[in-house]
Amino acid sequence: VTRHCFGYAPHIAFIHRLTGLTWPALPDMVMYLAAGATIVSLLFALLLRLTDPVRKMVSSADDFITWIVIFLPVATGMAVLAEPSAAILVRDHVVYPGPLAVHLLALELMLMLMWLPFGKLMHAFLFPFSRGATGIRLSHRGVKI
Amino acid sequence: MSTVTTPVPAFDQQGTQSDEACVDAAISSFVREFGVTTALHLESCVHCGLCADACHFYLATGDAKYTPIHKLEPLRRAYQREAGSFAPLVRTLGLVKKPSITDLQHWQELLYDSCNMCGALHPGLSNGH
Repeated sequence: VTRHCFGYAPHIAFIHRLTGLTWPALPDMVMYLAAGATIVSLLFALLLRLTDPVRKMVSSADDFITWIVIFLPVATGMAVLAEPSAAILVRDHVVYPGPLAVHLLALELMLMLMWLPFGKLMHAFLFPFSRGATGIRLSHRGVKI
Repeated sequence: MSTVTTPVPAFDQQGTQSDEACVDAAISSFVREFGVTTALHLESCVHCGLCADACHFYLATGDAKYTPIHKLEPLRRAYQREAGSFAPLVRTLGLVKKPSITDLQHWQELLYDSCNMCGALHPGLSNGH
């Protein structure tokens, strides 16, 4: 029985090689569909930001840099996809030869470790607290629910 | 057809201070308002633009300038330049433009000569909070 858990097999192999941790991956097709849906959604989000008068007006460079930071890894990941996971995993170099792997990892670490925690992407994790704070503040203004 | 008429802006230009001095005075008054709450609200806005759909002026006119968060633009710029986490860097590199007297006159209409209910209702927009 093949077990499926979380993530893409070559990514897991990469983490396994670095840390020794491993777990069952999801089927390739699920990952391709998820990446495809992500790319299409991001393109629509960008289109909306560029064409809707309100969003166009309120957008700053921050918003576009954030979009690029998210879009780049997904797009480049899809671009280097040429083989099924099983074929990639049997090779010596599991994902990429050394320098390219270091380059990609460094870029991602720089962008994601800086931009994710200190940029507006943290909204994805912090929004429940933000909602809570707004709720408390509104009720402090005399609106009892 | 639009049912909203735009009044002719009557700019408040009292005294003998230069435009530059007026702008600086406005910015330092913005800065006095900045606190934890202002910082949190300005930093957490993801520019989704949904607040426009809650503005009856925007719904009636379709004019994007009534977008509630847009009314805070001079304040946002002052915050980024004077009080944000990277304020010295922002100022040095000129990443965010300093509000000009023309900007402030443009926003005077939005803040005082049109509706400001979003400021009364939205905790993130009231008075620059």
